[in-house]
Amino acid sequence: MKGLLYKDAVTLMKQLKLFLLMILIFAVIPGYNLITFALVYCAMLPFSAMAYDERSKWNRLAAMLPYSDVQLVLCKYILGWLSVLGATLIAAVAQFAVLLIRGAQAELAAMLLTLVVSASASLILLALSLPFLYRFGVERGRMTFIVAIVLGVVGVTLFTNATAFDLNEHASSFLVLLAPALAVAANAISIPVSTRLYRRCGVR
Amino acid sequence: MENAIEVRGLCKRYPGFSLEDVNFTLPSGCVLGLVGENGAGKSTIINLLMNAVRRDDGKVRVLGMDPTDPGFIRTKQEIGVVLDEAHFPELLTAMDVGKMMQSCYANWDASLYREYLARFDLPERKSFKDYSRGMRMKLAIAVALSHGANLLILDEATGGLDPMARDEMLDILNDFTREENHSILISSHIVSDLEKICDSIAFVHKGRMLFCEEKDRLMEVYALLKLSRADFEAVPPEAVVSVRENPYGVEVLVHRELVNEALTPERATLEEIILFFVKGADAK
Repeated sequence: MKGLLYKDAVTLMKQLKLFLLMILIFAVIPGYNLITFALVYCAMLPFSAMAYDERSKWNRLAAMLPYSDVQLVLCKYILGWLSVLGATLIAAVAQFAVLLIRGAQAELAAMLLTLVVSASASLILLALSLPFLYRFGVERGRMTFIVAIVLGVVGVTLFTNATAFDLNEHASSFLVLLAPALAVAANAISIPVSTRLYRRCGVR
Repeated sequence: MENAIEVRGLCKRYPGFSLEDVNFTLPSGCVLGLVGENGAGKSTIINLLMNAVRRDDGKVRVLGMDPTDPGFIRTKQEIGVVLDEAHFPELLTAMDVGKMMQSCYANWDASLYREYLARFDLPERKSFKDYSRGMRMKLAIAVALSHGANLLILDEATGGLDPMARDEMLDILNDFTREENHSILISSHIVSDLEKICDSIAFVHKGRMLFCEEKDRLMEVYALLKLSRADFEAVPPEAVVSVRENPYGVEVLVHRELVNEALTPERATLEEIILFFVKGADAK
């Protein structure tokens, strides 16, 4: 699958220089909201790669290459995982440096919580959206990503208001474990669904 | 001799189009031309051979392996495919394509690939989107020839090329078949190209295969008669494949052995044979 990832990486780097720079800036600027933006943008990179594939009708050629359908689908997930992981690591180093400079090591736990939850949420969004992209194509499928974000924000807001949710130490520890577990489960379910839809929709 | 491709009773049905009961064999070391008009089913056959779409019925073996078998992925390493368009991502250069394919194919030969780029006069660092159609097809062919393939499958690969480039391409394909286990399945509208390089011709029309014969045998079996309408009456009906009328009389494609030599049957070109078969099939 290295060849497929190489193709997507080169295409994205050539086409989305400004976008990638924006992700980098958001990841290193102090401020946890911007980190979340950076990670969510990273989860969208596979959608851009799929849009370029559609434009060149790459899937017709990909079907002739020595790859299985699972590998062709999985490479888009791996692209998303690597992008989110890379941005998370960059953000972690940058934010840790900022905390050290400010002498605010006490905020380290909050920073780590933000990173873990944001990265996990990004991966869940990726897992929710990719099957729709394989089913409906990039233009229509991309809408599910926006809908998922809106529903997620509304859901979290309603939940915290209704339960007077207090992000204490106990809840934080629980979230740090729960969020990655949900991300893993969502992706584990999403991959076979996407593969099935990719097969059903055939060569676009 | 082993067969590179064996197809028996192949069927694929779509709403509004169906490919029915396709049968043909490509012996190892041979070149088979797949002829047919747009939408006849040539690309569908190629997609089925490569398991890009699932067949509804029939048996297929490519290099000894059923394409629906999970192990066919390994067999694909030995197959070079050139589609009617190249479909490489627009921003990739020929060098990028080479690096990508190096990771795709275990037997990728980077130096051979660069030789082909030089031979085809393809700039290594120019984006694919800036290539002409001819250059794009040449790049696809360079890729197909650079990973030690034993079978080449070409779908209208010569379509976008100028006559010089097409001739060069046919030379390259001829070189490829010098190895006795190298085989080619080539679909094309340009019958003259197929006439130059093919050992056998398979003709697909509206999802049906009308014939699959050795090229030389086609020339032997069929002949063309140019007659007045009155003389046409003397032609035995069982000898007639198809008739074309013109203001001066009729042209008839016949089975040569079933007509009297006194009617002076002429040698039919491959293109004429195909055109008459289409007319005959449409008349039925």
